[in-house]
This record gives sequence, C-alpha cells and structure tokens, in this order.
Amino acid sequence: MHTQVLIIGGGATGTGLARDLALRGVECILAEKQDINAGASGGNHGLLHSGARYVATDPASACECKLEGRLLKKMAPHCIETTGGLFVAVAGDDENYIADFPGMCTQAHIDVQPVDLHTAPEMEPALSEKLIAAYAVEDATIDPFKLSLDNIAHAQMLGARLLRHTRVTGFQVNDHAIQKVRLRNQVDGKELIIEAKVVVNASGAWAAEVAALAGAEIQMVYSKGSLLVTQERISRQVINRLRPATNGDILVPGGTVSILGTTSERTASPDAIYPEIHEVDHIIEQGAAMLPILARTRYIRAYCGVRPLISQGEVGDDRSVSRGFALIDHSEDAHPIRNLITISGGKLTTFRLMAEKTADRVCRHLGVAASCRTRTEPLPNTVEARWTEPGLAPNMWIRKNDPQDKLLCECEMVPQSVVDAIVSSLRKRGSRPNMRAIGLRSRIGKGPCQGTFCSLRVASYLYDRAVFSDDEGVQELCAFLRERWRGQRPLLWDMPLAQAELMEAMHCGLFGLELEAE
Amino acid sequence: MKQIDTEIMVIGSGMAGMAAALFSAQRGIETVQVGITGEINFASGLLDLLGVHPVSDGTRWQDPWAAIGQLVSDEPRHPYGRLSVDQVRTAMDQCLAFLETAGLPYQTNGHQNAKIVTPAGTVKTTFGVPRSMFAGVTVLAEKTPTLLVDFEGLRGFSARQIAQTLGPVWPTLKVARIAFPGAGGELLAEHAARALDVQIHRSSLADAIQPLVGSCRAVGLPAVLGIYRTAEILADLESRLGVPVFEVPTMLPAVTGLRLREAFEQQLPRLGVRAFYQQKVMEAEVLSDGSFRFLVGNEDAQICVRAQRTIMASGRFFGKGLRADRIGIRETIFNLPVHQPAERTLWHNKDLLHPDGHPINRAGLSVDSRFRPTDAGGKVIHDNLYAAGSILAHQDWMRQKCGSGLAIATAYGALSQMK
Amino acid sequence: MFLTYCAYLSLAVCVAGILWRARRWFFSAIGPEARLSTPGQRMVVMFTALPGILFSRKIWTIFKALMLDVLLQRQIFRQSVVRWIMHMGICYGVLSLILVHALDDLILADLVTDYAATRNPYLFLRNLLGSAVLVGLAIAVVRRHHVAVLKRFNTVWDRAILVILAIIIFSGIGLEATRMISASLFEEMVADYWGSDDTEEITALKSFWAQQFHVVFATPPPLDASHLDTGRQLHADYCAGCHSSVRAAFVALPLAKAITPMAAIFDRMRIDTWLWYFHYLASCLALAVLPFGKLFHLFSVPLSLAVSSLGPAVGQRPESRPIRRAMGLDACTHCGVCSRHCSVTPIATVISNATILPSEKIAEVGRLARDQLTIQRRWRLSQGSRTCTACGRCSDLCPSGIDLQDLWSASTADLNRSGYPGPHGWIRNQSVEQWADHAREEILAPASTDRPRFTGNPNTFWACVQCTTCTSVCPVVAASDDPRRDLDMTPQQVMNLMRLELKDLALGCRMVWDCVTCYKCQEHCPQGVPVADVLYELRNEACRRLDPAVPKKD
Repeated sequence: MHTQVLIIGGGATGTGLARDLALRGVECILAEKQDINAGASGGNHGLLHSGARYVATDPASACECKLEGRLLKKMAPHCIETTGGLFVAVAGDDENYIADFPGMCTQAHIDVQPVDLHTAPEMEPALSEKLIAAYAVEDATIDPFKLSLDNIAHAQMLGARLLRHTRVTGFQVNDHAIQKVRLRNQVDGKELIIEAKVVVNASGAWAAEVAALAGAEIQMVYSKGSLLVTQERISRQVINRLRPATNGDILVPGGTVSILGTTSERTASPDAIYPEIHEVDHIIEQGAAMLPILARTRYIRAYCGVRPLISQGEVGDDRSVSRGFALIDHSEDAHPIRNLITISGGKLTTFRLMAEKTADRVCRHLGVAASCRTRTEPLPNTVEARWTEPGLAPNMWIRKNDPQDKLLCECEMVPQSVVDAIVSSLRKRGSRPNMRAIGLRSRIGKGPCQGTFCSLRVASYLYDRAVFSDDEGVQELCAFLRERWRGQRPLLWDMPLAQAELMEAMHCGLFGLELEAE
Repeated sequence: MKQIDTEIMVIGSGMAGMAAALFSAQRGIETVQVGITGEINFASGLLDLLGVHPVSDGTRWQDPWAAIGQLVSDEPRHPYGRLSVDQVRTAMDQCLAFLETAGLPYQTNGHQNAKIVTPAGTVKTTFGVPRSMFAGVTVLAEKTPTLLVDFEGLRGFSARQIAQTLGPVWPTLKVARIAFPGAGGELLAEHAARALDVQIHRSSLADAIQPLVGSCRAVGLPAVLGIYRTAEILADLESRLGVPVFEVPTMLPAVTGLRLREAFEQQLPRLGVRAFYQQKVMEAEVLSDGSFRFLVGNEDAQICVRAQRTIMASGRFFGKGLRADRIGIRETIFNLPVHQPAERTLWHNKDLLHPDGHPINRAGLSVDSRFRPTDAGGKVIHDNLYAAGSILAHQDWMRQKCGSGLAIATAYGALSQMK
Repeated sequence: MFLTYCAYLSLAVCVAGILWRARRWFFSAIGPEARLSTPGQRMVVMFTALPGILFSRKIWTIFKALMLDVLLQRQIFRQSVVRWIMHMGICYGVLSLILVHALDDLILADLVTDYAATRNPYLFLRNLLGSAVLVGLAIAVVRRHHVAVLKRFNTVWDRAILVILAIIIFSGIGLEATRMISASLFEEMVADYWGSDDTEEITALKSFWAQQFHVVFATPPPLDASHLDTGRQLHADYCAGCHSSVRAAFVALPLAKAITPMAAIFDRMRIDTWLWYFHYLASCLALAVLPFGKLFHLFSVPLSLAVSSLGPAVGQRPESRPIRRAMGLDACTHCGVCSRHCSVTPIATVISNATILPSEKIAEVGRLARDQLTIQRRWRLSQGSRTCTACGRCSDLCPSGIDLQDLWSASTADLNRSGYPGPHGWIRNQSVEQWADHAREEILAPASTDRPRFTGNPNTFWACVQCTTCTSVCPVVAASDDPRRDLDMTPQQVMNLMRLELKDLALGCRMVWDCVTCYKCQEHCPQGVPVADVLYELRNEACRRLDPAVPKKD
C-alpha cells in the first residue's frame, strides 16, 4: 500500500491527527493494533479539565487545558456535557493549599468562583457534611469513545483509511528514512507492507516500543491509573478534591454513571495492566471523604489506563513529570530518521492541539501548505459513533416503537437495530464485526450485569444474522466475558459478587465455557 | 406473635433446602422450611452429580461414582468425603423418585453421566436429566439426524448457533425457525410454557413443526413445554410428529428451574412440611438448651419458630447465605466463621476462565463428619446446627459440575447423621 | 269555583308532569347501549314486556315487594328505626290526610252515610295524622342537621319538601284553630243550618258553644247554668249530628285556646277564610309541583322497587337498560344512606370532590344525561366516578331499589366515551413516545421537589441483577400475546429506565397503568427490589405530571 502519511495508533491523538490531515487534503492511513481507544484514550476519566487541578504544579499546562476545553466545547458539543465542576475540601485537608488556591488560579488565568458552604450541598446533595471550602470551575465531561470514533469517521469520509487489528512489526530503514513499514493483521495473520512519505508514531504508551523498531530511542515512564464506575450518577458536576493532586481525587459524571479515580502507579510495561484491589480500596477511601455514599454504593466496573509520560530523565513521583506533550521529530535525533515523528504524552483535553502541532510538522515535511482547520471546523456528529451515548438507545427504541425490535442488552436497553447498525458500519469500513467491537461502539455489557445475560443474547442474534459461524460464538463469548471480567474483578464484594456468581453459574456451571470442546 | 414449635428448621429453599425438607418429611420428622427466591429459579433442570475432576485439567468423567471416589481421595475435605458412595446414590435415587411422583420425571444414563447440548452450543456433562430432555442425550450420542427448532422472538436461543458450534461433531443437525403460535414480538419462555399447559397452542405447534421434520428422526425444541404438564405435552407432540421430541435448556432463568421449584413447593407441604416461601429468617438465636429461636417473615410481619435442630442450606452469595464486604466474607444468619482466603486479592483470578477456578468459590462453612459447622480449629460450634449445599467449603460446584449432587447428598447426609 | 278550578288545574299539571317525567325515561340515553335503540323502540320493548310480567307469577313478587318495601318500608326499618318512624309518619300521615281529609268529598262522603268533617273520628284522625306528619318532619329536620353526610349536602328540594309539607300541615292546623274560635263562622253556620231568629235561643247556643267549643264572641255570652242547659238542648237537636266534641282536636284545640286573645282581630279579618284559601292553594301547589321535585318519589320509588324486586334478569335487554337507569335517577330521594356506607367516603374529605359520594354523584349523573354539565363539572364527575371501587354497598342498601352499580358503570362509560376518562384512559390516548416528546417539550408539570421515596433513591435499583423474574411472574405480561405492543415495556425494563434516570420515558408507558398491583414481582424478586411499589409511585407521579398535557376542551 502507498500513502502520504502512516499514523500508528488509534487513540485520541491518532484519530485526531487523521482528521486534521484529511481536512488539509493529506492522504493518510491509520493502523491500530487493536481497536479505537485501546490505550490511555480508552482508560481515562473522560474529564475535560478546567485546568484548576494543575495550577500549583504546571500553570502553563493548566492554561492550555482551559483554552482547549473551551474550543472543544464549541467544536464537538455532542461529545461533551457541560456539567461544571467543584473543588471541595473537607476537614483535615491542607489549609495552606486551600488558601493559596484562588491566587494560583488567577495567576494561571483559570476562572474560579468561591461557593458558599450552604449552597454547595444544595447543588450536590451527596457531598460530605464536613466541607470546609468549595470553588466552582469550568470542568466538563467528554466521551472519549464518541470523540475518537467521530474523528476517525470524519477522516474516513474525507478519504483516510483505518486498519484495525493491524500491528507494526518492523521498519525498513535506509538512508536515514523509513522506506517500508511491515505490519501484520492480528486476526488472520496476514502480512502487509505500507510505503508512506511520513510515519507518525502516535501509539501513546507504546511509542517507545514502536520507535525502537525503527532504531530510535525514547525515554518513557509508564504510569497506570485505575478508575471505578458506579452504577448510577452520583453528582451532577465534576467533584475535585481541593488539595495537592494525589489519588482518589476526582469524581466525574459520565452520562448515567459516575467515574471515581484515580491512582498513579509506576508500571514496567504498558501491556497487561490491571486495576488492582489495593488501588480500588484506596480510591474508595479517598473518595468517600468527599462523598460518603462512595463507601456504600454499587460499583459496576473498574478499569485502568497507562499514561505515557516522556521522561526528562528524572525519577520520582510521576505526577511531577510534565503532563505536557512531547512532539519528537526524529530527523533531529543523534541517529536521525528523516520521516519519523513521535507524538506522545499530553492529556485527553489537549488532543486537538497535539494533533495540530503534529500535523503542522508533517505538512512541513511533505511540503503541504494547507493550514489547520480543526480550530474552526466543527466535528460532525456521525451516526456510527452515536451509540456510545448513555440513554440514547432506549430513547430511540421507545420512539421508534417497533415491536419487532427487541432489546438485546436489558441493562442499558440496547435493541437489535443498534447491533445491526454497528455491524453494517463495521463491515462498510472493511472491519470484521465481533462482540468486543460491538461492545466498544455501544453500551452493551456496560450495565450492572456486565454481560451476564446480554452476551448470549447478542451472540445468538449474531448467529441468526449469519455474522457468526462455526464455533466463533463460544470464542467470542469467552473473549467478551473475559474482557468484562477485567473490570469487575477488583470490585467483587456485596452485590457485584452476587452478580458475578450468577454469571459464573450460567457460563461455567451450565455452558462450561472454561472447558475445551471435546 | 404467633409461635410455631418444630423438630427441624430448614433454612433455604434451593436444591439443598428442598432436599433437606423432603428427606426430613419422608422420615416423619416435624419440619419447618423458610426461604426466599434464590438460586433454584436459575436452575437449568439438570442435576449434576460430578462432571469434572480435577478442575485444573478439565477432565470430564463418564462414571460419576468413580469420579467421586477419585475426588474424595484427592480432596478429602470435599463435602462428598463425608459420605459413602452408597449414601450419595441413595440420596439421589430418593430425590429422583420424589420428583417422579411430583410429576417431574427424571432419567439417568444408566446411572452414569450424560452429555447434553446447551444453548451456547457447548456440550455439558450431567447426571439427572429431565425426561423431557433425555431424547436429546440419545440423539447427541448417536448423532441422529435431528431437527432443532427455535422460536422467533425467543432471545438467547439460536438453533443455528447450536448447529454451527456442533457442526463438526454433529453434521446431521438441521435447524428451523418458527413463530410460536399466538405470539407476536417478543416471546417470553415462561409465558409460552403456561400457554402450552392449558392446551391453547399445542396442536398449532405440532402443525407448525410437522412440515419441517422431513427425514429427521428426532425434534428438539427450547424448553418451553409447560410447567406442570410437561409429560402430557411431550407425549402429545411426539404422537403428532411421530418422532421422539426433546427439550433443550434455555438461557437462565428458565422454565426448567421453575418446574423444579413448583414441584417442591407444591408437594412438600403435602408431605407435612410447614413451608414459608418468599420469606426470610429475620433473626436467629441459639438458646441455652441448644435449641433455636427464629423470627421468620419479612419487614412487615413475622412469626416465631422454635426448633430443636436447624439445617442451614442458605446458599452462597446470590442465595444470601454468605455476604462479602471489602474486608471479608460473613455467614449471614448466625455469623458462623467462614473458611476463606486470607485476603480479597486472593479471592478471584484475573482470568475469568482460569482453569483452576476462583479460590473464593471454595470458601464457605467447614463441617465435621456430621455436617455440623466447625470453627478454624475443627470444633463444632453448635451441637444441633447442621449445614448442607453450596454454602459448604472445599468445593467448587460451578467448575466441578456437582451442584445438585452436593446439595442433595449433603442434605441427606446431615439428616442421617442427626441423632 | 275558583278553588275547584285550581284543583283541577293542579291535577292537570301534575298528570302532565308525571307524563313528562315518564317520557324522560325513554328519551334518556345513559350508558353504551343507549345508542343501540331509539326512544320509540324502547317504549315498544317495555310495553310489550309488561303483559309478560303482569300476567305471570312475577306479579306476586312485585306484590310482595310493594307490601314489604312500600307499605311496610322494611328497608328503611332495617337501616334506622328513627328514620322509619320519620318516614312512616310523614308518608302515612300525608297519604292518609289526602284520603281522609283532602278527598273526603269524593271518598268518605260516598262510603260513610253520615260523614261530616267535624265529626269524630275524623276530627281526631286529622289531628293525629297531622301530628304524625309534624313528628316526622321534626325528625327529618333534626336528621338533616346532624347526620354528617346530609349536613353538607342538603339541596334546595330537601328543604323545600319539608317546608311545603310543614306549610300545609301548619296552615291546616291553623285553619282548624281559627275556625274553632271564629264567631263569624258560627253566625254563618247558624244561618245555614238552623235558621232560627230566636235571639234567646241563639244566645243560649252561643253560651254552650263558647264554653264547649271555644268560640270567641265579641260580646261574651252568659255562662250560667240555664243558658248552658238550653244551649246543650239546642245543640243536641241541631248541631250534634255533625259536630263532635272538639276535645278530640288535641292539636288544634290548644292552639285555638292560645290564640283566643287575638280572636277578635282574626275574626274581623276573617283569618279563617284566608287560611282556608291558603291551605287549599298550598295543597294544590304541592300537587302541581309533585312531578318536578322530590315529591315525585311517591311514584318513582314504588315503581323502582317493583322493578328491582324482579331481580337482575329483568331489564337486561339493551333497550330496557336505559329506561331502568332513568327510572333509577328519578327514584333517588337524596336520603343519603348510600353515602353513609360508601367505602370511599373518607376520600371525599381529602380530595373535596363531592361527586365521590353516591348521593351526590347520582344527581350529577342525571345532569350528565341531560347534557347540563360544564367541562369542569364533567372532569370532577369523572374523578368521582373512578374513585368508586364498585364495591356495591350503595346498590345493596338503597331503599329506593335503584341499581346504583349499573348506573355508575354506565355513566363512567359515557364519560370515557365523551372524552373524560380517568388517567388510565387519557394515558392511552397518546403513545409512550408521544408522552416522551411532551416531556422533552416540557409541557408536563415539573417533577416534585421532594425526592420520591423509591424512584428518587438510587438504592432502590442497586440490587437488580437483570434476572427478569419480575417480568416472568407478572400476570399482566402473561395475559398479553405481545407485551411490547400491549404494554410498551415489561416491569424489568421499567426498572432499568428508572436506573438510567430516564423516568420521563416511563411515565406514559402502559405497563405502569395496567399493573394490577398484585405484588408478585416484588415478592419474587430475589434481590428485594420493590418493583410494585416503584410502579405505583410512577403511576401517581404520571397522574400528576401528565395531566397538564391532556387537552381539556371539548
């Protein structure tokens, strides 16, 4: 295959870059080793920072967040819920920090309003009675899946191509430039060669690995953060802890649920990461200080993501490593590679800026004069990406009122027609539909039952529709349930434990999925 | 407050509780039984005895009795180890005989394990098979040309899925989809079953299937053939279609679980059990003479039950016999010590389908040779308190495929050990 | 002559009125069957059915009912002895007075050879009957002011009927009393029936009459023994044939004595004549208005009791039912017995809608049948109708034999059909997606600021494991071939909508309204989710919030 730009990595940065380049008329292919948002973009808080969290440690980054946040609210409002946010401190928190906070915000040009301690509980009844300070900020929440799916869908509409489940296996580097890129399809094992004028390494936490394949060296630190999803939405706004940034500080609403996090644990590799039990317990204890209900509520899922932090050579608390992004043009390396650019680090909130800067650099290499349009061109709300929005599926289902359209996922009320739509959009893009892909693009399996019942309903339906054949269903059920299990395991006590027992009773006790076929 | 005195109190209305109440009543012992809707509603109707051992190898056994022998030798603390094989056999036979009289006949594969198809297309090893499903065991073993029928609107059951998954081993399995007579839109299994119970659609159902049979020599259907009159409906269909007919288990909760529950709930009171279904034990107290005092009912109203002996068959986490918080696992009625992994990080494997199973599943109540719960040191806690069923420790019924056998046999064992 | 004309006129009006009201029985269209027949057809059906009833054994049933319930008023006796006394007093008092007194010329005069109104026992009877009526009226007035239900709802006619009867009786007593003491009348009587000129004899008679009959003369006659003896002798010869001792007039006599001081004035003004006209005309008036008010129950109640005595089998044809209902409406005496025993009476206090009570509802139903209700009153009647639990007590107890239960179901059907159904009705007028749109357009009433006990508390849904047990035990779901088509959603789906905070989507869903609150879902839920309580709470909230969106104009 030939193209102008090969983008490696389908997270927020990669998809944002594909769109930016496509808008400039640059031909590109995006290769992603798994599926959209498989890395940090799929394991974060979904928070569109006001920036107030970084006023003490990184004021420049704070300001960047604020500006990008405002821009995104205008450009992609359908991915964003403008919830507003609060910073709250409870008895025992660092009073100096509280005192300095307004000043630091002003210095970083972050808008912050003090909130009366009687008003705060009226706004958010779940807040602790032991509040000692509260400030209102411009936080918002963003759906990262919808964002990336819309980005790549728009890019595809403009001619870009997406290769899912396609992993880079090597580069052929001659004459200080990448001539060919070798890739392999993870599903059928087929090998593929792509020739591109510029290669962008937007693989996030895997940037170092990918760069190493080309012989370039990047110092990277991996910081894992775990988060918990509650069964129902606890607060209307984002609730932040008003103290120097540490674990378990933030509760972010996400449609019909709330997400509590996070942690920061050094991990040796970006692969095989797990939300651990001690992290879960720690987050809950910290969060419960702000919102006591967090100690009692039902959690339906835990997940984690790895923050790619380009190290400046220091070792220590990963929070002190810059959250700013790193744009590395490898033509400036000691062992230069003319047409390789790495973009890594950063935050979800600043993805568009990262993509813009990268695209500027790419276009300079290509000699393309077009300038960035993502500041002014709104992100279209594509049909393919809409089903990740919580509550949308039941709304549509009820309005359509088609008695033949049955619900496959009862928890989140997702009907057959949505599965049909996702299957056909996957096929249209040349992708193979499987249960995890469908789960990624919808709310299926994301409710309290975490796949106990919907997994078999969806599998049977896909057989009826001749999407599955042979014993694919058993493989898919195993893969889907295993994937859901990752997020359940650390929080299996009380109700979720009973639910998990029911799930294992059916899928192991009755179906025997854990056994090899005889 | 109304007070009842009884000889034996059975806590739990799952398989173990029902078996305990049954055996107790059959021995003429005054019995009170209390339980809420729990695990039995989720029964597939198949009665496992022992299917897999060792769990880590996934080895399936044809001869469950030999399997039990091996299991007890390898894992002496397994509850089966407290019983002789003869006792297990007697318990199963007695229970199956009862179910036969209750209008729910079962069949075994000559007292050996049988293999039966599940809705996921996998093959399950089990022991007691409802007669309405047994032809399915035979045709699977013999690979008979069979028509598998499913219904429009019955979610979670796709005949094509089963046929495709079993394709290589059973190429003569044909599939067809029909509309369940009288239904539009979504079909709920329980409602289809009730309709067939009252003859509403039996002949239309046969008429719809008839033209599709072709050269097939058996017909399989999702398990919706009535709740109380399964045998009648099956015979009716078989005579109309002229071939053996069998049911295939559906997704849970299924009609098959309801049949089991109904059989017990209808018949046990007739045997003299004073039953309080859909009610809980609100309070439990051990009195100084070793007997028990319970408050039974719900938030609004309770009665007092005094019992000489108690059998705890209260189930695990779903059945509310055990409850876990972030720190540890408790037994919910008497707060008995629970044998459990040292900490929560050890409860579950990171892989759902890890071949060893999850250590928490082996947590539960440790018992002595008489099925009385003991503490960590092996000392019996209350002389007149017994435990049976899935609440017992040192077993993993979901992986070993021994749920029903465990329930029935340990209930039998506890009762026969009562002096 | 004038008075006779009045009497005939009143009679004509009365008969016309009765016919007019009877006509209404055929022309009233109450209930869904009414559309199936014309008034003419109904008349034909009824009249052709009559011989079958009258010339069969059924006539004995009717006879028995009339004996027990009309003559002896057994039903009233069973409910309240005091009320029975009251009603017997008024009823028999008035009827007997009509027979024995008002129609004495036509009846008694023919039957009895030497009838004279002033003779005993007729004099005594009139007083007795009059006092019986007065006792009855007194009890009635006390009842009307003491019994809770009646106290609040006394209508014009309730009072009017008492007033009219009181006027007639009091004027009658007054008449008798004034006549007793009237000297002028004495003169006239002497002139008409004796014709004597002998002043000595007249004086003697006067003496006797002044003493024995309490006539008050301008110049008191001498009351010595010789005059009295002469007077007695004369009385025996010329008067006693028609005049019994006035001591029998135990009510009029004390009154006569009491007004003696005013006798002269009364006599000069001829009060007795005035009262005679007044009494007569009052009676005529009562006769004339008899068909138009509560007095009509004299006819309608026996008729209604006769019909109801034949049991439920009678009047089942579609043509007959509207007739029966219309007759029933006319048979109501607003006695209030139904409301006193109505099982939802307390609700009437809470909601302050009088039409919840049967005794008030029936009047409105009558007005509904005559198309006399405004929109607001129709809605109130609709609310009153659906609060009724159809327990049937009112029907069982009605002393007029009205089939109230049938009237309620008929009028409710009429209300539903004309666009005034209860919430379960107007909910169905729009689909669940239309209601969801209304929620989006924000034309619903806002959600209450108080958090609802179940649906406002996330705890409620924490425990759900999606097992579908609630749906599979639900009898309403089982009764439908296609739950999605008939109910929009199953109980489990409603619970999920609550958990997803999509309550607006569930408000208009028919599962919420068809739920029969059998509580099986809640009792069988393995996790203790209060499914039925949630549905109930939703229903109440839907009722409150969806009401503004219902078009209220005709």
